[in-house]
Amino acid sequence: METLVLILGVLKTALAVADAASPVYTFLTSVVSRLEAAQAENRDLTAEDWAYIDQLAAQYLTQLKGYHSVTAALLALAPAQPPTGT
Amino acid sequence: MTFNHRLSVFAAALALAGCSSIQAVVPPAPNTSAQVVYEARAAQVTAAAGALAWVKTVCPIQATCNDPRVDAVVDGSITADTVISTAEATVRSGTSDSTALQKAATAAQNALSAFQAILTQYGVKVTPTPNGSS
Repeated sequence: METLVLILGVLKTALAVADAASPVYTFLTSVVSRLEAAQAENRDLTAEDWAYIDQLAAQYLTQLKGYHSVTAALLALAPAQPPTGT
Repeated sequence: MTFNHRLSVFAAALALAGCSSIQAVVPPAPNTSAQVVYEARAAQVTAAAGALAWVKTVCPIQATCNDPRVDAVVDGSITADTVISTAEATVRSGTSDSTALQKAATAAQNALSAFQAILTQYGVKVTPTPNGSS
């Protein structure tokens, strides 16, 4: 369970140093409230809960990809290309 | 992990943080594989926000960015996202296969740890400042 502790630690550390006015603080607070609600009501996370977090993940990933150098971007694509020849 | 163990970890983290105002938003311990993956996704998003803030300082001009450190961070983010997305698909599939669910949760945790290790290697802050700069 060490990795679980690590993840909790990551979130706690982020919360501890985040400015209460920052978007990250707002995001983490929302995530925590969604988890707490799911646990309190003994239910799964809802599709809306997942959509909220997935949308942000995709947003950051898209922005990060914009900084990939051309060479690195091509190398990253290479394994996904179909094999050539017979 | 027992409840008391979790409680002690919680208390230690709070003591280290030294900030009583965050107690209201400390995440609960996950009960299910889905919740574990959800927390991993949350930590991934937080790390990605920090990574983006750092990348912007390294490459003020995005179009001409050609820095191997940035490439490593972006690649790490892509890998983490891919693995955690796969884990998410598993825990949301409705399967009752406990082994598959546990593997998904572990994979998500490991992917996050790997991403965190890359960020640590380059001294990337996990949490950006409110204006998005680091």
